[in-house]
Amino acid sequence: MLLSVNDITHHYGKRCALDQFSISIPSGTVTALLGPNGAGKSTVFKLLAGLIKRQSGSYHLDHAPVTEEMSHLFQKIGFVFQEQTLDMGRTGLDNLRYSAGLHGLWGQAAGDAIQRVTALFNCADTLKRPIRTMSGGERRRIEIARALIHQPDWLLLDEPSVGLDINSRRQLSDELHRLVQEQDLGILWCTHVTDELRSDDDLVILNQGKIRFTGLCGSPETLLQTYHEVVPQ
Amino acid sequence: MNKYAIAFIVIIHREFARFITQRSRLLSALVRPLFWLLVFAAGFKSTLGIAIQPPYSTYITYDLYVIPGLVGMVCLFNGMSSSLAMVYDREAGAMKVLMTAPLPRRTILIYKLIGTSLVSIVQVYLFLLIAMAFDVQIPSFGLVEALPAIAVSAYILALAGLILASHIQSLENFAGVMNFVIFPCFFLSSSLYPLWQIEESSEVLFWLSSFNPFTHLVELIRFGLHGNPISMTTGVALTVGILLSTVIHRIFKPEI
Repeated sequence: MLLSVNDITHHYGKRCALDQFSISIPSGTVTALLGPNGAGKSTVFKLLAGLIKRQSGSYHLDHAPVTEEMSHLFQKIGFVFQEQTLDMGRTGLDNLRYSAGLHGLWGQAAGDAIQRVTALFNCADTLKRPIRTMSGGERRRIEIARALIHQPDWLLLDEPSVGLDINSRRQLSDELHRLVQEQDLGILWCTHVTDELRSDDDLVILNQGKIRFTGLCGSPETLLQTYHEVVPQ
Repeated sequence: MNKYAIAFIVIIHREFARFITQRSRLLSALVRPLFWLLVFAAGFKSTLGIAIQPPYSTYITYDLYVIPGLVGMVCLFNGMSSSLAMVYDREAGAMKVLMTAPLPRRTILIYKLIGTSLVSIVQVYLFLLIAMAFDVQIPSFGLVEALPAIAVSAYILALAGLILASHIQSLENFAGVMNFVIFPCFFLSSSLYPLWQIEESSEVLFWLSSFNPFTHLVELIRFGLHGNPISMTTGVALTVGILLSTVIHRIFKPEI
């Protein structure tokens, strides 16, 4: 299975945010999208989530074109946004039920799905608390659990570790890499933080809207070296 | 159960859960029209009667006259405050969750509008029951017969709110727009005075009020409450509804 984006160019007014951007994310892989602030990572994410209208290029899931009329294809994707998107006044359970319902899960099926994802992220004990009383790490776990509730084939993460401490970040990375191995999930991981990545993860470095590097992450030292070569300070 | 039905239930449930948990919103939804009814209308009741005019077959008291306008006010405020909630959702990110659901965006919008309308209807009936408890002589059969008119009005005003929300980027801007929409809509209508009385005092205000769609919604509710669920204003209200639906489908942008 393949999520593929071909030749997407996107402008905000006269400013070119993305220039002929292409990427393929096969299932069972992690693709890291690295780049400095303003490189175009969030634009990629918004385009893939359909939050901004595509100006050119194509976007396919398993060879099916993703268009506004093909919104049912979003059943195959889970999204974790950079900023908090949980309903702060409601409990973790309410948030998960809401998302389950939006993805067509109801009753026992929703209950089972909630149990499955909360077990994955070890967050069952926080479910009855309102989101606003949770720590940043607990909220993130709920958000990622929510993105997986409908068992998507791809998970798109926009800087999911923002606000997490080192241990939580490492734990999150371990859990997500385990899911890739066990459930054949394909992940696109927009990030600034290189220690979340593994040497065999795919790497795309974006700068000023253009892809500057594609390959494997390699060791942390190699990754940093590559990054500094293609993104001059 | 069908995935559309499930999504409908969870979206409606969220609208109600939100409404119930925001106690100040629930309270102000009732206090605002009751204040007008029990203070403003009570003052005029003794001095101002309303002459016989359709749909009334006899002279009526002023407090009964203002009821449809206040029902419209409840729907107007709820439509606007739901839009305010939508702007807040957009700022807080919750809108992204809705927009990335595997459902057509139009369906999501319609579900949201129905949710807002249902919340308005509940508020309206609570208000009407309290008004009856204060001895306002609303015909009890009118409560049933006015339901379609109230539902249509609530939906149209929710649509108007959504159109505003889709063009407003932050909460600060929305507060100003609410003042420029709600007050002109309410005061330049037949909510507080019959149009012929407005015409006697100012030709300009009469024309503005006549073209104000809110006037037609208020009259739709007025006729509904008095046993005429289908009246001349039904066509105008439905036309406004269709027009606004077309507008929202054209201008709504998922950009967040």
